[in-house]
Amino acid sequence: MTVAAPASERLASRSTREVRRGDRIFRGLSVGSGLAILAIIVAIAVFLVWKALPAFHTSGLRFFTQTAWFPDARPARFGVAALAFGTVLSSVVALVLVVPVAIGAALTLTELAPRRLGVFGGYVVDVLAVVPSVVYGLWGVYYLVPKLIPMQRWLDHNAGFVPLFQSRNDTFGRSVFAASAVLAIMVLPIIAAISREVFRQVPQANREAALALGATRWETIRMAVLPPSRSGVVGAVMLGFGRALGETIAVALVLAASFNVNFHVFEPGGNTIAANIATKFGESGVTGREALIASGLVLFVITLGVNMAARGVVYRSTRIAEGKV
Amino acid sequence: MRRGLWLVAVVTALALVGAACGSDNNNKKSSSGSATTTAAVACDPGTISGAGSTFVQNLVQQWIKDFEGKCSGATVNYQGVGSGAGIQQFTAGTIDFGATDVAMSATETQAAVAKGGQVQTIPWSGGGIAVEYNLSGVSNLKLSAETVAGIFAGKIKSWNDPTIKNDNAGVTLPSTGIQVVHRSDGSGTTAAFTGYLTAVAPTVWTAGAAKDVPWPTGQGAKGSDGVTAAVKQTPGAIGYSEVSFAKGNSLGIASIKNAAGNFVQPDAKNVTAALGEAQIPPDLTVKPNYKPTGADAYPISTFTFVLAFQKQPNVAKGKLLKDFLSYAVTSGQSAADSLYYAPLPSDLATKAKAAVETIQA
Repeated sequence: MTVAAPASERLASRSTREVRRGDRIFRGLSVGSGLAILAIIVAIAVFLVWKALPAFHTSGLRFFTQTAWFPDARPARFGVAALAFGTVLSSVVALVLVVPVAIGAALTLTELAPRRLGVFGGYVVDVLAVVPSVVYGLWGVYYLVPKLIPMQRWLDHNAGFVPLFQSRNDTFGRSVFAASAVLAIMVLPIIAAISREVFRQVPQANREAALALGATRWETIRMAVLPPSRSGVVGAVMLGFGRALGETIAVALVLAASFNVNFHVFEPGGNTIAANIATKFGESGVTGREALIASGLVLFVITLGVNMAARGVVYRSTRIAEGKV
Repeated sequence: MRRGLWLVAVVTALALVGAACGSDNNNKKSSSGSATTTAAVACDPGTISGAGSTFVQNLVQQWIKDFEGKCSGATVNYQGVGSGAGIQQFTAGTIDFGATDVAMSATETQAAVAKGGQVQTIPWSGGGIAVEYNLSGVSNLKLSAETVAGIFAGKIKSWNDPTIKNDNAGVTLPSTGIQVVHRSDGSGTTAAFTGYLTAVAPTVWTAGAAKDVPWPTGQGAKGSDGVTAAVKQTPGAIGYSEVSFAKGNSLGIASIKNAAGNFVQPDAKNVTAALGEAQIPPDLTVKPNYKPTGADAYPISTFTFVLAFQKQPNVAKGKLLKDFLSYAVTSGQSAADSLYYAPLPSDLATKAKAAVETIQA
């Protein structure tokens, strides 16, 4: 018992103790950070619910069915139906426009372009992400909107039998389609950048194997690159979707703010929850603010739903890829 | 990485330029403000801040510049966050004065009084609302009250409608369809414009008078700048905005027929003439008279107000606030014209000054 432990053993035990202390600190910091995020989310949810309750009380269930927005009128009448519809519609149209372009761009940068060009192209895509959204909005309303009108008019006159392309009063301009075009450009860098990283993760051996079997470039991409990237790309698209749902000022500047449920995306009008909050908040009375916060709660729930759906899709497609289903 | 940073810097610079371009449209004449006033300005040091009406923002910024120039040691801040948000911040006590285009409602007053006691609502400027249009070949459009109401109610749909022809004898009007542009955000400007429509053509305009109304026709746009941009972009469009926006974008401004039967432009003197015909209640929450009888009176004219607590919680700030408001309703009035606002009619300015004097600090 009195024999001193060998020096090496003592060192080991001391370093173990230190490692344990380090572990504990690290663990504490990590768990703390994780809990902080949870706490913030819960705090936001509680705040929204608490502040929105009076609005729900005022309008009752009609909050979910009514399309008008006159919370400060006597009697107040307001509902989130048109706003929620417009939010989802504009984001979906934006995704339809952007997903092929973003994935194509990411494939070009990783698979087709020479390496140096690919790196430079990556910077250019990232730059799109640092442009403030108000700049997109101003550019959209002063430049893009007038430029899109001839194209919309042509589609209306030549393919107007499709309700989507029809403008019933033959006016074009600050429509859901225009807003979606701006949104598409705004979410392009998110989807393209993440997809690029995902494609880059595919082992070079996969590509070489496909090429060795005599596959063409396109076949290599289709067989060796796209299948293992599927879940990652879906995640990227969903992140872009979330960004589009919550975009505020660019949409507020572009849209001609009407409160109706309308699938004719070329007709001026449409509105989204976030844009409506931005335009109406400044002049809102007490009920008006409560109503806007209630609509914010709805947006919060929609976004949460989209993110959870994305998780589900990613999880499922990972399992399919791993052959577990 | 270097290259990445460069690109970020360039884009940021472009963004700043873009932001600057977006906001300086209406300040073209702001530097030539009220340099001529020589009246002594009462002066106390300190800092006060206010927020509210975007309508009055350009004028308040000019007042602040002139007042601080005469009164070193005094700092006044103003943010144009919107009248509604201004009332909210004023009631919450986070600012020393609020500014609103529409006097507070009974419930808003109640909330403010519960927070800080009696509230003074003091008119401190006025302005005309221009009916702006984009119609090539027509430079001096004339519109009677019923025609304006008919257009914004969606009952008059094309520019060669007999009603419009009637107002514009001898002018060739195109058959272009009329595109109405209105505000998509709540606005004191909308409240005044729809107030005018309700007053002059109650049978044609039935959507009511408020900061936001159920528009029977047309497209919304955010802010007066948004409305003006949309009108400018759309041939055949018509909208309404503060005079400064229409002038700044060189759009056509319609002459409106007043009760005397004359077609008048929203020039400062015509607006002030109309404002002078308003009934002034003892609490100064004056409502515009949309049917002024003066020969030159421009009927779509409105007031804008400052809100202050009667009993100031902080003596030093209260003194500075009184100095600033006194300046605004006296010598400051001469800054209005060059910024496309209208000075208060003289009897109202006198009463406003007296109201400022009653603030206790």
